[in-house]
Amino acid sequence: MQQVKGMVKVVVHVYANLAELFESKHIDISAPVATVRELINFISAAYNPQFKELLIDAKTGHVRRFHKILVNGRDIDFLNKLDTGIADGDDVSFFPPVAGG
Amino acid sequence: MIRGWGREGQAKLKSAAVVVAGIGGLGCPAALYLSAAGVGRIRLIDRDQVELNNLNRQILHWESDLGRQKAESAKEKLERLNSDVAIETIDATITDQNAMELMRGFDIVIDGMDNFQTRFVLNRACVSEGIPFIFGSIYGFEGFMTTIVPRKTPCLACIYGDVTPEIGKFPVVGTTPATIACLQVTEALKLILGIGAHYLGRLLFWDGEDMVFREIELQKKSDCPVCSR
Repeated sequence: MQQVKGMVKVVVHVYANLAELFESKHIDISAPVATVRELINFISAAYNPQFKELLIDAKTGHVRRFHKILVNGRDIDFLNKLDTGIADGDDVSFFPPVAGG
Repeated sequence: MIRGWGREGQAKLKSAAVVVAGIGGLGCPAALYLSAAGVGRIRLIDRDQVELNNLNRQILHWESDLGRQKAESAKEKLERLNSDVAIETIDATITDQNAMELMRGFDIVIDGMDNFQTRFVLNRACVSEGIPFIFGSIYGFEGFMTTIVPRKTPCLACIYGDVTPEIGKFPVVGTTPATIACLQVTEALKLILGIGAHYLGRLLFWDGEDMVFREIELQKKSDCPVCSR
């Protein structure tokens, strides 16, 4: 089968209150995305628009403070932030802050 | 025999002083294991009274304690567990005005809070006083833990910024804070004894639903408003 140009398969993990937006906290996604920003946009359009609302500050366009986004276990804050590249087979995790104790 | 412990290690524990800030889901098991280990002086700080919805996880508080101050309720049980431990109770809200005074002279602060605002107060006081601060937080089946050693590791403000996020009520499985608290106390005991490798510069994430641990790399922020000054 011919692969669609730019399509990547990634595994997305969502935790805490973000997980409540989905049926499962581990989601297999095939999407034409090249960056974390595009992945978030894709997930919001395909699954739940609240995903982006919870993660991204609409005013600044940046990830809301306190949220951690990891690509293959590495914090995108120390990579290229929302422009961090996504490749086929990547593992992307979204950790909202949790305050309970 | 555990390497580096023995009679000498037990004496170190006896002369150690630890603050448990918040006597809830994290603070109860933390205080219990600190007392059982023989930490000589433990200061319990909590402004709240025991409520019915606390009892699934705050295991030092029982039905008969409903309405009591949490610190007092915990002190009573801990003294029955180990009468050699000096338990102090403070029924107060931790603020920037009193935090340094409350922490001063203590070797370690264990985070048992349920909100970030007070955690940031504790973080600022611990960085200022040079006291290791062992962070823990939970949600449902999930929890985080890291050991913050001022000037050496990233501080809480490096990790999360230094502002208050808006987080409402949280669901919690009773064993989640117990798991995280046991990790916090393990770190505290090793720091006191000077043994083992401490969990520094990394954020430990535990997911009890999938029964997995994950590790998040942390970095000091060169412009951190708390620890870069």
